[in-house]
Amino acid sequence: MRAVLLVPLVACSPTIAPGAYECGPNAECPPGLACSGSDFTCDDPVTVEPFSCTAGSNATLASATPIKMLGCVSETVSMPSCLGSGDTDGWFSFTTPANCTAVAVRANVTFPFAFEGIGVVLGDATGSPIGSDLDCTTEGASQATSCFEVTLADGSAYTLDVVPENGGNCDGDCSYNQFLLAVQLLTPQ
Amino acid sequence: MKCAWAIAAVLAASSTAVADTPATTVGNANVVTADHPITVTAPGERSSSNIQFLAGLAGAGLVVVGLGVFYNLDARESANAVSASGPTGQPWTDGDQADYDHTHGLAVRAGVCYGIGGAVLVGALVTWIVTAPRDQVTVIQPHVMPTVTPAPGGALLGGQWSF
Repeated sequence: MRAVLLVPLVACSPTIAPGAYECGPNAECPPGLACSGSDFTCDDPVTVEPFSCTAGSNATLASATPIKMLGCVSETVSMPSCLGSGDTDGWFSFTTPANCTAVAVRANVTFPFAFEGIGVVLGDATGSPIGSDLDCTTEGASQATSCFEVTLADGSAYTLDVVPENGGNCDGDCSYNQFLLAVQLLTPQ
Repeated sequence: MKCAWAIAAVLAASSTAVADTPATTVGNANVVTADHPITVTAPGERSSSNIQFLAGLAGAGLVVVGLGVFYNLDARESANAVSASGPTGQPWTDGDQADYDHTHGLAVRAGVCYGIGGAVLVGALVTWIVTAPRDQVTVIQPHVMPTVTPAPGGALLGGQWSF
């Protein structure tokens, strides 16, 4: 009985185990914990690892990574990658089939809250922007998402430029992030 | 004053003291002689102002401790909102940090209240001990006077006690 009475009077400080929370924007973590660059969770400062990035060789339009999608309605193609510190672009390219009655592209870029925000820009064959993303992060999601769905012309070449959005970058100290780009062709509604 | 009356008076005084608070009779009250004085010890009584002061002090301490309990329970409820022993899959947000800071503030307030309230209660206890009234000790020295009364065929030997 005494223990029952004592517990409510003593246990009034938050107790957060390492790994319980994902890192928040700007690599924020509960007091006493630090953001791990390897799995983006808030861990013991002694055990956290630095951010690592094996960026693709697609920093320029000329070296854009091609996305092969077959059919007017395609499977979702997912490509994990990252933007290293100082990277400003990650280019991807695709072409719509020529025989579609109507075709649209749905693109999502999902990334941890921990570091710099990331967006995706739809461009024509020359990289000129023709569409931009919206914040599509769902309530309670563990990662942030930017997305768009745009109707396209068939038989045409397009680009997707994954770009940093300068938010949540720890005032420049964590201006990098990993991301997963998911692209699908579908019939517009 | 005669023996019977004197003893009765002493016993009456003692019984009155016993009725309120336990009185102690030191010495041998059963053997009333000149060599055996009667010592009556009656516990001292606190003044009403002393009692009021102590009650006020203790009451204030309890109120402050109660305030600490209030802050403590509030902090506990807030702490439960952000505490996690396993992976939540959720990012640490500004809202979580605000809850954490709020909880910390409440915990500090609770600690301060416990400290102050506890100190006041301890002060009340110390004051209660220090201001305890001394026992009232009364020493009764009996005076014994033997009496010899002539009687037919002899004499009647007796005694008178006075206090």
